[in-house]
Amino acid sequence: MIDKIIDFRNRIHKEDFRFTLTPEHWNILYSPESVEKRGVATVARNGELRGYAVYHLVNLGEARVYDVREIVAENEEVLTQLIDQVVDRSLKDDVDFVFARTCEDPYEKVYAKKGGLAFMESVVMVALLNPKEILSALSEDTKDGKILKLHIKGFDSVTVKVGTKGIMLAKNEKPDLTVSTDGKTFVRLFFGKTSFAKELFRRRISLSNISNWTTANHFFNMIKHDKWYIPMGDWV
Amino acid sequence: MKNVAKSAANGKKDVKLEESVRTLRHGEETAHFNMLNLSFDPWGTEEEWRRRYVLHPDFDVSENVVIVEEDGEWAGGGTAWFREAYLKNHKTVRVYGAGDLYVHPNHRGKGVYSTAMRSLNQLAQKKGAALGFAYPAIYRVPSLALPKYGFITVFNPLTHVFVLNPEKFFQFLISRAKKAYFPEKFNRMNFRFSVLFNTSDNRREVSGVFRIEKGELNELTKTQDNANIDLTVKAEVGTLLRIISAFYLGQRSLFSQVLLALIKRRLKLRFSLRFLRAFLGL
Repeated sequence: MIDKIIDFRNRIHKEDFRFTLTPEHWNILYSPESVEKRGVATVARNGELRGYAVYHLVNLGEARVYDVREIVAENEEVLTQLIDQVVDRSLKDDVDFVFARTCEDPYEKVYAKKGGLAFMESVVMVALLNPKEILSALSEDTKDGKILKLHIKGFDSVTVKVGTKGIMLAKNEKPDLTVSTDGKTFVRLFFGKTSFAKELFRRRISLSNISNWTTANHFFNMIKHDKWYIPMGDWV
Repeated sequence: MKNVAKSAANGKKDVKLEESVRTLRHGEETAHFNMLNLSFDPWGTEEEWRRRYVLHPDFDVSENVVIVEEDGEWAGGGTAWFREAYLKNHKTVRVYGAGDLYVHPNHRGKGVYSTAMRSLNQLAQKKGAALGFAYPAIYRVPSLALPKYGFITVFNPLTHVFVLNPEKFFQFLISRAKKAYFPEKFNRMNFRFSVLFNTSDNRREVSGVFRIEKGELNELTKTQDNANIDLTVKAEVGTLLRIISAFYLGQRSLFSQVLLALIKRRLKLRFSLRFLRAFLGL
């Protein structure tokens, strides 16, 4: 069952920035023995998994709460069925309220339709520690392109070849342009929370050669990861 | 790991503190668990500690748990949990999650949190992490402190709640509000909160009266005359939750949410002159 769930999660969120999930992680993060009760609601058709929701029964002060650690559905209809299943089970367990946190879900409106009330409680914060590691992982064979030297304040410069379809780490090549920025702006651009043009205008990015701005813009578009999936169960 | 001499204000005297950073040693597990419970008051159960510190994959207490010492005394620390993250080309990078940052009550205000946080980032960098992650609650101090250590808010997950027992949910909201700090200008003021819930079978109103003392919200058990109430807030639960979220997003966001709720008549406010003066800082 765990393998099926992990495969399904990876299929639904294949394009998203997300953490790898092994069966060992699953057992510790999603099925811990330290909670009063834990369960997985599933929706399947023709023997194929279409969605699942993992919940823990926890006590918050004097309240009995269903904490939904993760909910993955392939469409709105499946999500509706999963919410119904979880709420039905919570009534049987004499629960006071059910919490479900979402990751900028495309089917977010389904929760409101089912009577859910939305509010902000936590945020996900990110710090840049090693830009070269990220660019190295994104590096692919690129034959032609301009050489961009990226200078992020507080880190060693990284030189990349920016092709039409990808980027590649470059060594000892004379740069066509140098792009300077700071770690926080890089993180915002990487996760698609801002645009290159906006940050250039705000002077959080500077270019050595403004005529090559399209190369810098193309570089940031190619490394952008604007879809993400870090469900609460993956938090520490 | 390292030793740093630094000054700390201790009453009127300026005392030099010897600060050192190391990782937890095998055999110190129980002491660490006790330290977490003392600092967070409470942190959690021994079973939960085992889940996070013993059973978690790729985790070793002697490598992932940072301890900060002041003059040889255990003053605080923090923990790094490592994961691999998928990029859109299906390759992975190493990332780390920062958590369980704590400072012993006797060592607060001496920069122990800063040392622990910086040490965790350094430890993670050494172990090849490309990004650091943290998941603070918006009403707690770390969400304001973490930008100092390179963190920025990138994602804003929404929490959806299905309320089955309005009284218990109201108590839960109040328990969260009790953890928040209120400006001292509201000290000795009384507040009445009434929250409306639309349940499947009827419309319920749950209310309580509170007083702020020394920046903290306290429940009043005695009934109060309307004349003694400085602010009465009556709102539908959905509206109230949106206003609470907006409070943490900044003044502009709060103002627009409150205005919208007032126009839609989903929020009613009644306040005394004393409250208005304090609110406006007059």
